[in-house]
Amino acid sequence: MRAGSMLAANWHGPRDVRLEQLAEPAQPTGEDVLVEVSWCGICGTDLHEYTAGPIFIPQGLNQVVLGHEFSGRVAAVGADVETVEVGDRVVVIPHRVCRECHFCRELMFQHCLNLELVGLTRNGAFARYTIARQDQLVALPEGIPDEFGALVEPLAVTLHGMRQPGVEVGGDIVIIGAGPIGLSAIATAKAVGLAPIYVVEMLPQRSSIARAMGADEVLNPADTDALAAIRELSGGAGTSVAMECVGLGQTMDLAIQAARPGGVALLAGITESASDVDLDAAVRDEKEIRGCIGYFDGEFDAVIDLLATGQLDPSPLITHRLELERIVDDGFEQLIRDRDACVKVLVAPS
Amino acid sequence: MTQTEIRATPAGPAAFDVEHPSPGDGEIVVATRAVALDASDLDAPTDHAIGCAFSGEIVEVGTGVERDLIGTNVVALGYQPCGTCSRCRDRATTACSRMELRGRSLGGGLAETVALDGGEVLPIPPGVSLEDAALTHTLARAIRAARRGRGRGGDHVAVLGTTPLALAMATVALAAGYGRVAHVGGDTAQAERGVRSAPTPTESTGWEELRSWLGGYGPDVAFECSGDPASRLAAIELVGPAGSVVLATESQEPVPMDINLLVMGDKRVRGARMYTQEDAAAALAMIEHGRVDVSALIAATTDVDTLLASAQSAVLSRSHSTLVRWPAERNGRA
Repeated sequence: MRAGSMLAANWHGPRDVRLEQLAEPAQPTGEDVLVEVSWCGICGTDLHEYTAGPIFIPQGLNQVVLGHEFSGRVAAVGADVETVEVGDRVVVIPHRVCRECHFCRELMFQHCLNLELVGLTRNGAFARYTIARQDQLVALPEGIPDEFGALVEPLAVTLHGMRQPGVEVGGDIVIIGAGPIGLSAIATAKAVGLAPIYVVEMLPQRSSIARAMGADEVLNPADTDALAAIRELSGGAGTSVAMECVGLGQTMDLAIQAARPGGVALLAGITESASDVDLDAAVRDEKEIRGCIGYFDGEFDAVIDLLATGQLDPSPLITHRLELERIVDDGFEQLIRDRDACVKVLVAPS
Repeated sequence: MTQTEIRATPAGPAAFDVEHPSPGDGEIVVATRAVALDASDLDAPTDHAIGCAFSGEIVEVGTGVERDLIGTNVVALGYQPCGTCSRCRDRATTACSRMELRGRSLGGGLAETVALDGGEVLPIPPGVSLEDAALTHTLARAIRAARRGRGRGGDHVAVLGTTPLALAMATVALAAGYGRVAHVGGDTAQAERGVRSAPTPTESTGWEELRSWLGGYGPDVAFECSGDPASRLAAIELVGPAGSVVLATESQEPVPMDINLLVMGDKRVRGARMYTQEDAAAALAMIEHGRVDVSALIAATTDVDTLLASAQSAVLSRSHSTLVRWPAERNGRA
């Protein structure tokens, strides 16, 4: 029987994440697994919830422990668990799905009609322990550090983009924004053979990290006409793929314009306001404009395989490591204060 | 030697006497037999013949074209890529940056004869009438859109718009083996053919009933066939997670929208502009083998003299095509 308490970063509302002592989860039952969290990254989604939530957090949910990008160890298992054992190192897919609806049958779990999300709709990993079902767990092989395990989720988001139709080996790409998702996109674009990789970013340290991650050219839109530069670099027509990782109307339009005729604009940034979008570019130039969120079945495993072979090296992404006690001031607030130097903050709750 | 051609004027369709065209190098002259028109053909005055969708018989050929082709029934492709821009050089002729449309910037088919490039026509298979072949242009656009939608047999689809293209889209969707086909803005006559006609939802009714009929989560593919910004937004809202919206009509009007609809829904928007020769050949094959019901696309059949004698509002529809025959006996060159 478990009866202890644990420190947790508990969301109560915008700018109101409290470090609180909560009861540790009860002994898991059925297919549930108790995971002791090793590292959990602060995601852009967490930051959106911190500054302007609830967005993904359901209206009416008064509190929830945040944290969905994490690795850990199996601490206890329910009676029906067959796929993992106590002590196993794992990465957790945040989607807890119904396994019955149309989208689950199609293995498009992020669109499950009864989707629950660890760290957003149910308690997450900014705490020593959290609960996940056995089908949410992916084994983390020896040789891949726990820190990298906490980066599998954002890398899977961008790999999902790189696996879309029209994104093909040897094609060029422009990535707009070198935040955590933009930088992850650079890493995955490089891993799946896209070349050259152009990046649009105005902050100097992020630009440096972008180069370290594999960008062939970083364009500063404060100094140059980014669209003209992209077209010139790509031979006049634009790139095969343009991926927007900022979440602003103007950068969405830049991505749509930067994709060559017949190319693909991937929109991965979450916006906080409506805007006019030049959808007619899709008709005029037969481009494809795609929203890009989450990941399908198997994409966590694919990221782990790429980490295991060394094709993905996300280490330049990690700029800060914190104990859970510092998550508000040195995590969320620091990410707002210093967008340039503070990219991926990993938190160690245990 | 002069001939008659029909132009769009502020007062409606009007006949003009013009010089008979002579075929240039690599060109053919086609005697028009049938033209599919709709009200949009008269939206702006033209200084040449209207009609982008037409069929006819080759009556004259220029140098470099085999004389054996005289007498062949052909359908025109309806547009001309420039052939020299970077997109044409990449064989992406449907994205040509200097594309010209028959009946708009180039002479269209509603004339006794039309001079066309030899590569601008396809032969009509035996068994396909000249009248039915005139619908090739509209069907080929729908086939192009269907191919861009990348749907699979059994997928549920919605077609939005009250245009001839929307009707063709619903017809092609049925022929393509999609599951349930709903036409927002369609007419109830389509129900006999298996298309559910759905009214445009109001604020109070919303999309829920239609979503429910389409499997509970919305269509897998939505084809927007009007270019209207509200209809484009509706297509994006209606389509299910990870679904595709195909914009099949150009429009310069911006769409004010919450882009998170796309991002958080993992949705995709693809454009379909005109069609390739392959799409047009597929349209002819579908007509030839009875895969599409061409009659569903036609509001009325008339002839050129009746068209000229009528007020435009009484003749041409915005939702259906009107088939205009140009009788051989009225054609001085045929």
